[in-house]
Amino acid sequence: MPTIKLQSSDGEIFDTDVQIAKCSGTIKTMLEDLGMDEGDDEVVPLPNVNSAILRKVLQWATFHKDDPIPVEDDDSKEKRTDDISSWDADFLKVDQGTLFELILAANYLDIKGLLDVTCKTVANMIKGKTPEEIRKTFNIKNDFTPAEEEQVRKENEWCEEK
Amino acid sequence: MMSRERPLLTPVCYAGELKQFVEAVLMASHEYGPNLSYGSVNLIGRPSNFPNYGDHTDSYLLSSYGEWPRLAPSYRPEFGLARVAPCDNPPVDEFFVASFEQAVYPAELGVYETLHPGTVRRITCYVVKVGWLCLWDDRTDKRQDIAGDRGASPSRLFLPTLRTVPHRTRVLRFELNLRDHRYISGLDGIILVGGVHDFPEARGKALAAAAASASPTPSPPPVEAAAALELIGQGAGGTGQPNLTDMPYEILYHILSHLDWFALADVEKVCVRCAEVVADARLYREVNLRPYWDRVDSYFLMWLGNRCAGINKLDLSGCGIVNEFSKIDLQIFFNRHGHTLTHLRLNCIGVRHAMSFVLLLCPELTELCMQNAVLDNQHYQPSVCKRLTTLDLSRAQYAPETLLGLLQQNPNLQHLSLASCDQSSLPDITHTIGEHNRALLSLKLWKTHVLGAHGLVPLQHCTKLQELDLGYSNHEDCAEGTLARLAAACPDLRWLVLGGFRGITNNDLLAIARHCPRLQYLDLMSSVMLSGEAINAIFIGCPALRLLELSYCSGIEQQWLDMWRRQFPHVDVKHQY
Repeated sequence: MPTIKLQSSDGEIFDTDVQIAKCSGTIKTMLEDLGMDEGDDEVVPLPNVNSAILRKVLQWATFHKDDPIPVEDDDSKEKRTDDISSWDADFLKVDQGTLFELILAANYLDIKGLLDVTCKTVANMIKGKTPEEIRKTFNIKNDFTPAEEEQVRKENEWCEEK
Repeated sequence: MMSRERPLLTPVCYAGELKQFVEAVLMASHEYGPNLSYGSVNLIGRPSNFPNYGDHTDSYLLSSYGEWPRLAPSYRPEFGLARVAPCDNPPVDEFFVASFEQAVYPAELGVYETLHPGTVRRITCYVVKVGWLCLWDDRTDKRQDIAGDRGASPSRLFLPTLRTVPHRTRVLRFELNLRDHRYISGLDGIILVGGVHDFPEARGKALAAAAASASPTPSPPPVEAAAALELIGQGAGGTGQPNLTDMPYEILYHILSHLDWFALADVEKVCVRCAEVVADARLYREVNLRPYWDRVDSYFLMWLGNRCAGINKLDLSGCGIVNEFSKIDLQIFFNRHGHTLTHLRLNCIGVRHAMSFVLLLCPELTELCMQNAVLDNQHYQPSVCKRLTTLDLSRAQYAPETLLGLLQQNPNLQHLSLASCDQSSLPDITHTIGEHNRALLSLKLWKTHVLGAHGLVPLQHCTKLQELDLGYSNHEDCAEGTLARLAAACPDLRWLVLGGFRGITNNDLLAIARHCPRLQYLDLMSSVMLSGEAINAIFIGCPALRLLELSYCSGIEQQWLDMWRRQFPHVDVKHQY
C-alpha cells in the first residue's frame, strides 16, 4: 500500500495510506497538480492542522475511506441533522474546542463528509435553545448595542407573544 | 351518546362542566365535493349516525387513502422540507379546524368515527393571546377507544387522553393521517367536555407546572444533551481554542443552513455576528411553512419578508386559519417578493377572499396552488402568470374570465385541477382547454358538473393526458361514443376517475381496455349500467391495473368479483355495499 508523509503544524510526521490522504481534496490536488509522486519521500506540510487534530481527522478518514464521494451542495439537498451515524456520533463526543478545530481542519483540508457531520453536530447543539441558552452553551458574549437589541426585539415580537 | 356522566380520563374535577358538539367548521382541507353531502359541515352538532357504521351522506367523509394520491401523475412533491426536522412534520395529510360555542378548559374529547376509524393523529387548541397548544399527539399521548354499540359495530368513540392546558379554548384543529389507511374513512361528530370555570386547585397546579417548565432555570436536559453539555464545559472558556463565532462566515452559514426558520430567528438574537449570517438571503430560497402553521403570523411574515430577497418557493398552506395574518400582510409580502417566486402554495389559508392580487404580482410562477381561495376581482385584470405548468384551483371560486384568461395564457400547463369548483357558469371550459392546453398531463374536473353532452370532444386534443378525473363532472349524459374516442386519443392514460360520470356505457369500457394498456387506477363508483363482461375486458386489456373501484356498481354479479380476486390478486378491487 503506497503511503505519503503528512506533517502537522507542530512538526509530527504521519505516514499515511495515499487512498486515505486523498479523502482530503486539498491533499489530492497537491498530489495531482504539483506532481508529487507516491514514490517520492517528500513531506506534505499541513501548517494549519496540529497533530492532535490531524490524528483525529485521519481516524475519521480511515473509517470513511470507502464512502461515496459527496455531491455538491445545493438548497434542495437534505439538511436534516438526525441522520448522523452512531460511529460519527461517538467519534464527535469531544470538547467544543476540538469540535471547532475539526471543522476548521475539515474546511482547510476540503473533506466534505467530515465538514458536513461536524456542522450538523453543532446545528444540533443549537436546536431547541433560547438565545440565552445558545450564548451559555457556546460562551458567546451578547455584543449588541442597546439600540440594536431594541431593533431585534421589535422585529421578533412574534416569538415573544407565545 | 356517551354513556358516562363524568369524564373518565380526567383526574381533576372541573366545575361548571359543559358538553358541547361542534358549532362551526372554520376550515377543512379535504372536502368530498362542493355541496353538503359527505362534507365537513356534517361534523356540526350531535352525531347523526353513531354507532351505525357506513359511508353516511350526513357524515364527514375522507375519500382519499393509502399511497394512491402520491402515485398519481398529478402528484407534485413538497419543496422546502429539507431542513424541517421529521418531528416537526408528522405524517398527516389533511386537517380541519372546528369551533365550539363556549370556550372551556378542555377536559375530555370524543371523536365519533363511523367509517374506518383511526385517522386523527394530532389535536391542537387555539387560545386567544397565547396561540396554539397541543392537546394530544398520537406519538406521545395515550388514548382510549369505546367500541360502538358495545362492540357490535366497528364504529367507535375515540377518546384521546388530553394534556392539561391551563386556558380556555373553543377552537380545535384536528390533523388526520390518510396515507396509512386502506380505504375511505368517515367522522360523524365531536364532543368536547370541559369547565367554563376551572377548579382553582387544578388551575394552581397546572399553572405551577407551566411556570416550572417555562422558568429560566433549566429542567434536567435529556441524557444525550446532558452528555453534550458536560463535554462542552471542558472546552469553552478562553483557552485559545476556537469558538462558534470564530468560524469563517461560510462555515457559520453551513451550520445555520441546517436550522429551520424559527431556530434562525433565535440564533439571530445571540450576537452581532450570528445576526449577520441569519440575514443571508440564501437561507430563504425555499420556505415551507405548512408544518409550522401553529407559529406563522403577521410578525413572522414581516420578519421573513425582511430577509428572503430572491425567494423562489413558498408554501403557506393551512396557515392563518384564526387570522394570525391578514390579507394586507400577504399583499406587503407579495409586493416585495412576488416577482422572484416560481412555486407558490397557498392551499386552504385563513385569508380566503380577494386573493387575485397574487395573479398580478408573480410573473415567474410555474406552480400555483390556491385550493379553497376566492379569486374575486371587481375589475378584471389579466394575470401576469404566463409560465404555469401546474395550476391547482380545487374548491376555489373565481370569475369565468379569470380562469379562461389563465388557461389561454399558459400553453405549457401540464397539471390542472378544478376539482369541486361549483362552476356551472363555465360551459366552454373544455373548448378552451382543448384549444390552448394541449400539453396537459393531468386534468381534474371532479364534481364540477361543467360538461354537457359533447363536453369531452375538445379534450381529444389533449393527447398527452395521463390522468383524468371526470367523476360527477357532467350535468347531462355524455354523447354516445365521445368517451370511447377520448380513450382512443389518449393512449398514455394511467389514472382515470369515472365515478358518477353520466352516460358511461359498456362500449366505453371496451374502448378503454383496447386503447389504454397503461391504465393503473380506474374508479367506476356508482356506474350501475356496467356489466361484468365489460369490466372483465379491462382486466385483460390493462395489465398494469392496480386499483379498481366498483363500489355501488350494482350490475356486477358476485361470481365476477370472486373470479377477479382469484385471478388478479395484484389488483385491489373495491366493492362495498
